[in-house]
Amino acid sequence: MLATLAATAFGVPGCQEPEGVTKPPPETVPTVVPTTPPTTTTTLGPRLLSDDELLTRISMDLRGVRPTVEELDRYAGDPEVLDELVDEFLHDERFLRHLEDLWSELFLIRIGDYFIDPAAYEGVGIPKSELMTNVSEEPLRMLSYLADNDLPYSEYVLGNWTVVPPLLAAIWPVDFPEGATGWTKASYNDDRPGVGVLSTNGTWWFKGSMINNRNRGRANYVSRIFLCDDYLEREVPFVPTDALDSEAALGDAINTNPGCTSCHATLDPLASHFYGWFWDPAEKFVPDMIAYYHTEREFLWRELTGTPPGYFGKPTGGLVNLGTFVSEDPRYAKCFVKNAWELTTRTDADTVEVDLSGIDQTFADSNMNIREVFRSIVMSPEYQGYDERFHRKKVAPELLSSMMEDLTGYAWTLRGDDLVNTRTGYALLAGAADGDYVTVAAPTSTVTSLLVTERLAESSARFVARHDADEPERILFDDDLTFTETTTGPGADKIREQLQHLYLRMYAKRVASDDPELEELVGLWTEVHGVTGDVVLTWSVVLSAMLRDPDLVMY
Amino acid sequence: MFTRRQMLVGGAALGAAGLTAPRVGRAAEVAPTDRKFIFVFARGGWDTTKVFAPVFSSAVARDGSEVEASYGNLRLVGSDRRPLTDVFFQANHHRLTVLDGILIRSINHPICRNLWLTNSPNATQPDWPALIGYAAADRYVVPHMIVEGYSMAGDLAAFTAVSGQAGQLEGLLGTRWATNSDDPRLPFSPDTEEMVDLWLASRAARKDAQATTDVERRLTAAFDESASRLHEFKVASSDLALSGSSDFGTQILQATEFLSNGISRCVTLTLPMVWDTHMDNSSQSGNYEEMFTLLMGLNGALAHAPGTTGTTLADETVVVVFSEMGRTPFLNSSLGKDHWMYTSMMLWGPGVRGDIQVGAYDDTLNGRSLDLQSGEPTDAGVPLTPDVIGSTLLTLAGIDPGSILGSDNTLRAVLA
Repeated sequence: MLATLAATAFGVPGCQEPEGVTKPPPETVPTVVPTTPPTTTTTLGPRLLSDDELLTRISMDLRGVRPTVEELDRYAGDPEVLDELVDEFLHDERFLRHLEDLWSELFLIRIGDYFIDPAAYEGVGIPKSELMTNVSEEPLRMLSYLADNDLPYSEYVLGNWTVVPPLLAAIWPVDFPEGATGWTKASYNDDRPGVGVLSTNGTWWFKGSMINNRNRGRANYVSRIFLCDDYLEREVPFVPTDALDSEAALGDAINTNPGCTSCHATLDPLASHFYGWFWDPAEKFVPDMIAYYHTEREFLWRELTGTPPGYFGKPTGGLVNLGTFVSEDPRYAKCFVKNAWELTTRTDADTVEVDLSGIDQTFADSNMNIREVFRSIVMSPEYQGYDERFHRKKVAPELLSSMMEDLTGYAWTLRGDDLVNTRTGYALLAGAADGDYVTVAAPTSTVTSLLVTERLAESSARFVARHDADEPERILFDDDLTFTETTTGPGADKIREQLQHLYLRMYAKRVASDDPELEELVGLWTEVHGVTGDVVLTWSVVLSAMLRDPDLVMY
Repeated sequence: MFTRRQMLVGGAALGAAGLTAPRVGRAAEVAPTDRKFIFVFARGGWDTTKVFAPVFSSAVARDGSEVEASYGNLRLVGSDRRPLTDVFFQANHHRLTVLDGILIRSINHPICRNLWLTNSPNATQPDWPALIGYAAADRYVVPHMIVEGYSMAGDLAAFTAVSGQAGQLEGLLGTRWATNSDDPRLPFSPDTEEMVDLWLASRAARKDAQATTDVERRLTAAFDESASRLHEFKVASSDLALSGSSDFGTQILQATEFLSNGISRCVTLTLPMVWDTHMDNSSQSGNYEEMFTLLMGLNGALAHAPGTTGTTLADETVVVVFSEMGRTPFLNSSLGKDHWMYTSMMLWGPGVRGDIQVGAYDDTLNGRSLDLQSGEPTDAGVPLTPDVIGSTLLTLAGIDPGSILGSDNTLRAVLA
């Protein structure tokens, strides 16, 4: 399974190879089994997913939850009903939360390290965890606001507005509607240029810059997220320069050395847009310095790089126009589609060659409507199981959380933060990337991801079994179960029926009462009950097993 | 500032450093395939001119205290401001290999890190510890344990685990997870947990066998492998004394637990200091003092921890200390130093030749080419690059580098 395969050649990392520069000899790198599926383009074949599996996939990828039994029965393979269901899913509040979850993986803003000090506001009574839980959502809420209101994606970098909760409105310079509660549309009022997410505190509090970096990290952040052009993935020839004997010489090399200019010629002008959020390290702790945009610092580029703001060869005139340049770049729309596809299918669109032009066209025809991109994705034959390269995937950590909570009603939190998806919780163990210690999310199950799943399953199962045994309004178990039945006594059939119900609700599988898989679960039930002697506890244990099952962890 | 735990470990090691006899002869007896590895990462890019690079040309900015210092055959940089660094080399030079002038080919942190650890700028490739661990996957439950540090496992993710910076792994393996929640729930008893684990293992194996596509096979195989290893790990972890903290003393204690108990072949640790000194480079000096104190602590811990094939972990563990890049020879306007594409590293342990310094810097702190056989600098040689580092580490681990890298560029001079 994991045998070593052929080595591949590579160049030298950094930026693209400029013309006229001799490429160094190819070197070899270790290649184990590719982390993405086979790269050959496959012809569409018979659908590999059953109707129930397809609806499960769509529900998970649009709402982060499994379909209900009613939804499964309603669909039953009828394509018109599928259209209706997809539309309902896209207008479900959970689609917006799921969209935020997906894009948090690009921004890395929920579990990565912040540039500013989150303790800066503890002096005014705002604990850092509460502050950052809100700050990290600002760019993501802006995106879901666009989707919810069918606004064009171009507004993401053009709109003179943000979306903030009262807690942030109280400490940031924003015009916030009086009496508003929850996440609300508002506008910054400190003279910052209104270029959507490119002028938000949330974005730049997270992605800061030291003076020696001169906003280049920020420029690459913009390029990576909005243009799908990560400078760190470019290749650059190494050109030995024994003249690098001073800071000035190093600065000159950036403008003259072919290996350097291949990146810096475009990166540095982009970086020059962000000096309004340029803080001295000592200012990272000072609320008045980090809350406000600094117009007086916009021109710091003159002394730090001498490179005026520009966009891939064209002068922009400053941040106020950057959103226009970005949104009109053909890569901007294509990148959204590519990101949506990759985050939904958990594949690399470059490695797994797939034609996204149809979805690109849909995006363009719909005036950059976010919902329409996702509709187009889930209705594509590749996604729907006609292409084996997209046959299965692992449940991502954020989906694990939302799926378990939907099934069982149990939220695994600590001080309100989702334990599966926070760095102080179990995010890295669950297989998430933080952009720092882990830059690539685990593509498959790991020892620790299964351990996190196990503990979440135990708590969830404990919670829902107790709840459903005690409360008239049940969350997961069928109403017919009285929690007195045992496999060896009266009502044994009820146990079997209940397991059939759970199979359908959790795995979207319709199994016969004498199905061997069901027999095994009945066997487990009997064995556990023999040890515990407690019906509710037995159900907890058996349900925890089902919540850890490959059929739930992969879809 | 050291924590109490660091001081305790470091204090024990100071004694051990002076008293421990050279182990090169005995250590070499451990078969390469039985060698364990600890990777110690100095994150951020260390200033090689402070210790490793005895370049005293006008191109190198130095403080007045720095002088060339000799420890056996090692030619390093000494300073009366770094007495503990001196103690470390006095006590350990006989077992150390120092590699100088390593060309990383980038000055970007993530790229340098990826290159150093994988010989690829791409973070999807398995890194050296993942590969070394995987080669002995039949003998170790978690072949590579990342106590703290970078994780690049690629498709070897089932053989690598992250323990978390706040004791997350310990919490999940024990019972603390159950109370560490807004809505705590009691854990199941061990016997019922065992029943579920066995049922799940059976399910996982069947799903693996039933997979119909490449994608599904890859996912189910990893699930099956991980579920099996998790079950073994939970059983084995009942004998482990883990603790939840990321200070380096605790990292050391965790590392020795994983290695001594045969849980892991490789462990990754990260030093707590800030090495990325773009402003005020003088803190590098203190960093080195702290680092060598902690490394003495590590040596002391290895010397006193039981091994699985040797008498102690010191007999069977190769220690690799590295930083992803170096720093410029000159100061910038903030009296700091920026990134430099050449760096140094140290390693010691079984199979590693002691008292040797391989590679070199020229007067402008560029790395010199060298002959891979002799290790001698020569203009006709090749640069000391990450594939050479990788080849050498794989060879030390009993793995044919050609099977992974396509060619074997092992630096033979450092092999005992």
